[in-house]
Amino acid sequence: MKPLAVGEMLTLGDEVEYVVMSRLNHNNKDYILFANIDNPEDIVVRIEKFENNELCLMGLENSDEFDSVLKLFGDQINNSL
Amino acid sequence: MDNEMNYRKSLNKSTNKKVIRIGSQNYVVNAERFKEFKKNVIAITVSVALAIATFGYVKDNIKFHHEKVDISLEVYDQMVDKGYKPVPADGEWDYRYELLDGIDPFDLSIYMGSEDALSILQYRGYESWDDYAQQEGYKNQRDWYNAQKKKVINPETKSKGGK
Repeated sequence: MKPLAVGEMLTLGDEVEYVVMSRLNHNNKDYILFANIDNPEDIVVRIEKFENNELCLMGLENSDEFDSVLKLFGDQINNSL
Repeated sequence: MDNEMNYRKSLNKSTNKKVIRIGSQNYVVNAERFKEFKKNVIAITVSVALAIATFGYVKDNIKFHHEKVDISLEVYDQMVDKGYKPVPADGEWDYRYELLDGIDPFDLSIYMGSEDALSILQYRGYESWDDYAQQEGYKNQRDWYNAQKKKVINPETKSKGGK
C-alpha cells in the first residue's frame, strides 16, 4: 500500500465519496484532509498510519487537535489558491 | 446553526476512534467521476477553504458563548459578595452602583447587557461606551468590544490599543 495522494477518491467506510484535498506532516503525524466530492463543506481530517503494511486512517485525539490541524490545512489551501 | 452543525459533523467524523482500514474496495475507480472532480477542482477547493474559515469562526463563537456564561456566573457571585442585588426587580437594577466598584465594565456588559451596564459606566464618570472605549485607547465601543472578545477567545492575544 502507498500513502494517499492528493486527488485520490475513496470512501471512508460509508457510501460517501471523498477526495484527498491535502496532506501535511505535523508533530510527526501524517494528516489527510478529505472533502466530500458532492458536498465540499463536509470535510474530514484523519491520521494516516501503516500497520502491517495496511493503510489505516486513525481518528484525531480531540477538538483541539482538529482545530489546530484544520488551521494549518486552511493556510495551506489558501496559499495554493 | 447549519455552520455549527457542519462543524460538529466534521469534528465527530475526524475524532471518531474507529480505525478505517483502507483496501482496494475503498478506492473510487470511475473515470467520469474523476473527470467531473477535475473540472470542478477550483470550486471544490474554494468551498473547502470557506468551510475551514467558517469552522474557525464557529469554533470561536462557541468558545465565546461558553466564556460569556462563565463571566456571567462570576459577575453574579461578585455582586452577591459585594452585597449588590444581582437580579433586577420590577425592571430596575439595584441603584447602589458604588458596590460594583472593581467589576470590569466588559464583564458587567456581558451580564447586564451593554445598555444597562452603561448606567454604571456613567456613575463611574464616563459619558458613553464610546467615551469609555476612547479613554481606554480604542477608537470606539465596537473596536473595544472586539478587542475584549478576542482576548476572551484567545487570552494570549495582545490587543491593539488599550491601556
